[in-house]
Amino acid sequence: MKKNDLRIIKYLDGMMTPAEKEVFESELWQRKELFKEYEEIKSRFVLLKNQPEGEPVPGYFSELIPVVREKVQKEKGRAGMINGIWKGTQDFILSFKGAASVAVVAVLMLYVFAFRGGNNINETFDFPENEIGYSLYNDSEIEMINDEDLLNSVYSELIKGLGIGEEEVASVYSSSDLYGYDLGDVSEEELDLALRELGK
Amino acid sequence: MAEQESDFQLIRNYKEGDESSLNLLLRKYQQKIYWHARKMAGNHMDADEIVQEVMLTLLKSIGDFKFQSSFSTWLYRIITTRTLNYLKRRRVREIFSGSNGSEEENEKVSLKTRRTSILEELENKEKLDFLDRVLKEIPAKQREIFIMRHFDEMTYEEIADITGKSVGGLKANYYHAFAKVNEIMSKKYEKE
Repeated sequence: MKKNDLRIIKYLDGMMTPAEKEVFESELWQRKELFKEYEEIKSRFVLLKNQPEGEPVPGYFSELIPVVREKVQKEKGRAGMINGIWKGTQDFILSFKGAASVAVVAVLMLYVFAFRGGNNINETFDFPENEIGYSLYNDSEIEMINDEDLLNSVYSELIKGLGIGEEEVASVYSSSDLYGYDLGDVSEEELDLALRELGK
Repeated sequence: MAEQESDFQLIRNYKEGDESSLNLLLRKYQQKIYWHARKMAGNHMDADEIVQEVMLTLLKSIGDFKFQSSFSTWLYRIITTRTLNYLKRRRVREIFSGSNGSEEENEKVSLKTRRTSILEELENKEKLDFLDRVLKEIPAKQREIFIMRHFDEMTYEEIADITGKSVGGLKANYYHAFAKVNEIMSKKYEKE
């Protein structure tokens, strides 16, 4: 930048104070070199200002607003479509709020109880036939168990419960008492007498 | 002041539902927007993209205009932001593509402008090409201040309002830019 350039630019820009302006203008008339510099810069300043500022392309400005408005409409259309989908989804969810809540809870429960940890709701529980027995008796005990033992065991429990001693039971309920009389010691005459009496 | 009031009236009319008022406002400012963008970008294609971006932003946000500054200041804030952002994006594209986009675009523009009078076109094109080359030598932010001051004839206070910079800083930037332009132009005329 030449020494006087800044002063000339400032003068052309109209940014000098009145005092600065007065000094500069008086110098311009006195110093030919400064005046020449000033004229050169001023001509560039004016030349630069006088630029063509019409239509850059024929019809450009008359087409500009419709083009921009079309773009706005397109953007609005896109935004409207997205908003519509979003609003529709919201309305749908809100209109089925109760049902949707139940469905969400059901899905969550299914997820937590059925699918998490690999559980299978279709699984059936098949226990081995003697699984319960195994839990009470060992193998050899199970082999020994049969109906007669079970009856005897129940029978003795019952007798105990009634307060009757084992010996008394044996004397009162002997097997012959229960299943029949021994007739070996009865004479022929006694038998005939008995039959006659029964025959009455 | 009267101009500001007429802009405000157009905006009020638009806000009350008169769509044609907005068209009037756009028509009033479209050349200013274009030529600011053109000087900043240095070619028609980029300027056109900037103009469309600016107008789209304007249409979307005019409803929020608060009448706290002049419409012109508000509009120039949009123009400067959009233009500088566009130039940054273009610079990134040029770096990655390894090409000088503006020269290619100028070729396209010259094809488009064939329809105008050839002599007028040549004269205008020569002037514009020269201006583009000169302005290209100035850093973008300085160029912007130079354009607003020199071509758009704004006061430093208006530019300060738009850019948020101090008046002193703006003056320094303008003088620097002008000195640079003067230097380039003087070299050109020395050659001729």
